[in-house]
Amino acid sequence: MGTSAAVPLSNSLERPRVDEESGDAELVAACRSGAGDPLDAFGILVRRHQKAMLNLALRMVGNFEEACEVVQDAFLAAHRGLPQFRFESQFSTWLTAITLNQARNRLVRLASRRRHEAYSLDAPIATAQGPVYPDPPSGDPGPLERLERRAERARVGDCIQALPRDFRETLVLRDLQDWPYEEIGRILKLREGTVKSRLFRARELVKDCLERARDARGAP
Amino acid sequence: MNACRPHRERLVDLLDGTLPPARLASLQAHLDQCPACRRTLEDLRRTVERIRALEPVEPPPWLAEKIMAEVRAQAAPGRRLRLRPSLPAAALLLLCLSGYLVTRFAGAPRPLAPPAPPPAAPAGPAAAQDDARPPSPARPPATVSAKRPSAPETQVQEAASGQADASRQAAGTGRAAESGQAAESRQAAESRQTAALPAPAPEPEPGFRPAVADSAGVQSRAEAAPAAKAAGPAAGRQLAYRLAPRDPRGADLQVTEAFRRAGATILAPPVPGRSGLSARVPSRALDGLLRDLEALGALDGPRPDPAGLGAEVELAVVW
Repeated sequence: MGTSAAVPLSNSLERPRVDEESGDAELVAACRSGAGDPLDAFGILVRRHQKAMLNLALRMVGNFEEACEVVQDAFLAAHRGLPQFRFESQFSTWLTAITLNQARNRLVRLASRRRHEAYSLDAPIATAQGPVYPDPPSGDPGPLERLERRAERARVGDCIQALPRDFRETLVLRDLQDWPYEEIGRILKLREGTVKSRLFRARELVKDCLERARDARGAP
Repeated sequence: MNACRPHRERLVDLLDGTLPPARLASLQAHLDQCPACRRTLEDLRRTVERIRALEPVEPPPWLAEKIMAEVRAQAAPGRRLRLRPSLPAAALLLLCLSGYLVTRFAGAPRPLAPPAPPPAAPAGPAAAQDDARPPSPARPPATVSAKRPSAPETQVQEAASGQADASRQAAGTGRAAESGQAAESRQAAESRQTAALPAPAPEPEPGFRPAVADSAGVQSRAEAAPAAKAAGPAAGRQLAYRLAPRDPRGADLQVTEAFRRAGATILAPPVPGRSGLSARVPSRALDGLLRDLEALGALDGPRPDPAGLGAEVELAVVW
């Protein structure tokens, strides 16, 4: 996942130059040192991590637009919190924890407004140019295959969405974000054994959910 | 099945390729004699494959740009509030502006009870300057409220609830600096409920002053002033919206086109550096226009009942 670890801590006199190739730790240091335009460095961090954070948020809140808001709030919170970042973990670990936290807050708000609906990956996003599907079909399959793929994504996405939040977080971090157990433990403040047991249970629940979906539509 | 429980963690490791070789042999021995665990392993393997086959979504091209705009706003010196296109933000601005206007036009010591001007004479600064005179019994504040019954009060309620929402958000994210402003805004809301001034638009970008948005009656376009003065409250509601367009670059054209489709008379079109538009819109076309604007992005603002509006409404949108 993220880069980093070596910590070139602030020496503003040196004015470290950063660019798209710089590691996260360098960029964070540049943001904090005030060298050059710190927002340039933060902009690189945003562009580098926005996709991972968006996909994490999407699987947590189940709605593309809400996920964009979550990501925006997460980066704003990260920018506010940069002075407190102690380099005790990777920046990406820290940012992921912030994004998850923002997603939890958003879920609470959505639930309290009673307008949180089950998410379907099939649900189109309305744009001025017409509906857009979040997962564009890859390759060039025929229409039937495209429909089946879309339905499959919708089923799996719905089953993930239906998981209890704790299980969902663990499964998304491991199976969709590819975080190692140790980092998941850091992000969720859990022991590694607990992470694995939650992951096992989450996968089992998704499996059961998919089986129920298959039975419901009478597929073999 | 209980005998299988200790192997769960190892099954996870096996699936993820993180099982230490030393433990592989013992797990394999268990799997050889446990059909239930073999089935579980196979089921989980298929499930994980299906989960991992979900394709990641790409962030929209505007997302990084929008985030950085918010970050810049947050980082601006002296900035305490985060400006984002939301109803709470618009409501806060509306309340602050209303409070200011009430104070300015009613006189600071008695902000809610300006002396009544003669019925035929236009209200002017001279009336507001007469601070020493007690409020005229002929025109108590309740009378003022009664003259503008429903629409402004509705807007106050909308604004007040939006402000409460903003306060809750601030508390949730630790932005305590906003709480003092919330108290000020509540006072402003109370003032507005009595004085019932027309609602201003949300604060537009610097330099942008939609003709409809100035509650003090100072209209930026000369041609708008006589019509508004002649029509008074009967000219219809003044509505203000904030739009968060999905396509910020195309928003100028798309919003203008939406207004044209609605048969609106555009008073202040968007120009470079001024992301806003104000127009007079036939009330019957309002619903369709709001739907068109919602198709362009998140739209914050009131949803009035068209039946209670005049023939036209004056509408300002900023984005």
